[in-house]
Amino acid sequence: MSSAGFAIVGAAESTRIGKVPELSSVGLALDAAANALADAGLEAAQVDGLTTGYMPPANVAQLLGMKPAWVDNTVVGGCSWMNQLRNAMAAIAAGYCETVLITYGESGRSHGFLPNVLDLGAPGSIEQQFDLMYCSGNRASLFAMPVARYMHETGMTHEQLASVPVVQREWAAMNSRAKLREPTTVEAVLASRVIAWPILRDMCCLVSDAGGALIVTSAERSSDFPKPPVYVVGTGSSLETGLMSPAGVEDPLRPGLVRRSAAQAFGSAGLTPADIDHLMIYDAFAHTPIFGLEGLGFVEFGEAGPFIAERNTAPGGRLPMNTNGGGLCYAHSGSYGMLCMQESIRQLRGEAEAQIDGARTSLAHGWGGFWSACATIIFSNQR
Amino acid sequence: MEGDGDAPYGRDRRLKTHLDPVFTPETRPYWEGVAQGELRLCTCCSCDRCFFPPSNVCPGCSSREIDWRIASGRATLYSFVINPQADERWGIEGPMSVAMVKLEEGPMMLSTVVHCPQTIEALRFDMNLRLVFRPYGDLPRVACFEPVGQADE
Ligand SMILES: [Zn+2]
Repeated sequence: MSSAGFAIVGAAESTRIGKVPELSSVGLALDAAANALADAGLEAAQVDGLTTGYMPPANVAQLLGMKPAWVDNTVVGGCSWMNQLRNAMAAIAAGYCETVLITYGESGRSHGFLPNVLDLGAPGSIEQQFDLMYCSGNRASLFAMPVARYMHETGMTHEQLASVPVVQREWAAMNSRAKLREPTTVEAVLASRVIAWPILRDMCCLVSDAGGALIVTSAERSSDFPKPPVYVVGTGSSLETGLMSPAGVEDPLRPGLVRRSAAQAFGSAGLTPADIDHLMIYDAFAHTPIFGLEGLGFVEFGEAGPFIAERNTAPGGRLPMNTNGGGLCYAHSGSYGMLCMQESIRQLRGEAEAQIDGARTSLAHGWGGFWSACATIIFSNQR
Repeated sequence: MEGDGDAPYGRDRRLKTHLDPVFTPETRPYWEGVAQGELRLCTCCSCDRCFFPPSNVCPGCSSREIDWRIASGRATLYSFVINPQADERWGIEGPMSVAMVKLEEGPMMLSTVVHCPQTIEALRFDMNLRLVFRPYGDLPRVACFEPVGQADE
């Protein structure tokens, strides 16, 4: 996929996030879509491609008054939206459509997680037969399986792990829409209750209602819109194991899927980690940015815990990461990859509340399940 | 500090209804083995790969000639978490480990380490384990592991 051939011309979250009991998952997706259409100065009928993920695309098309020529609902967990962005670019390149709306809504807090398509415990699935029983239905424990071993092999301390939410709380303090904005400390995080040792409550993401939507088109057309285009300059993706099937990962401490996805993304962008000004790594739990920083090549194996604890990703640090506060402090409705990309785009448009001066490139990395899937998108405001 | 309370996914009611394993034609020999006190693994007749979970196609070479073998039951502890509370189907009071167990034959599987304190002191990385079976809900046996004591080695 050629570099900078595509651009985001509309981007928005749902009008409200956090606790939004007046809307269902579909309602949140429609609300975000309407905001993104307004952002792009488009009417729904002018958009000829649609991706929806968890909800049936036909329903969303009907409710938005769209008659799309191309649809996709790839579902591989929280990074589905990054995968759908790649798919949309391929569809535009193939001439199937010109402009694609990527919609997401999830009433994770008020009305439960998404109703269909992705059933994490589907009877007879690998996870349901061989994994969920042992974790007693506590899926946080499946995500956390490699952490104790990682600490054992690298010497990362529990305090360093606890510094992840502490640092992200500092970013959240600058974001008016973030849920958790009060400062916290390593001691307070370590005093929170055990979810699945070594994972404690304050190392787990929020449970929120939220939606988000993107509009992507070719770079050639992208100057016809009200907002400056944000170019997609590199993408990558990889799959490895069942969504909640940790025993299927070849090397759980150095998960190959993130390395493969990073190689594709940096390769297609012609960039290296040193070229990235701003970073979003999906933080369903405190350890996922640690594994992401290493797998994406920003630091070596075993270095990410101290790297975060020493404030390299904090306000004023050299690699600002999760500047909305992340899934740990901003919002997490169940499938957070869309919100990662929204913050990347805000930063590159200069619209972020915790704005990084002069940011030209932003990398958004999403996970799906426990090292099951991942996808990496590199954005730039320069073509 | 006002938090959102529950752990992520903690409110997913569907999950609680799905904790009794549902077999498929491809996995039935595994579960029949467990019922008889055996841990059965798939082995590929073409490339000799031993794999888990069971499948009708080899993940190494795509062959459909698959044999079943009985695992030795010897394993080591790769990693673990400790859940504060076990599901009632386990009949276990208090905390319960969830373990990534590396089988002697090569595959990794998810299980639990029983018959020892469920503490970070007692659960040592790479410790030797052996297969044991415990009841789980309506199933008389599911595959678990216990530490091998020095005297047993
Ligand atoms: Zn084979």
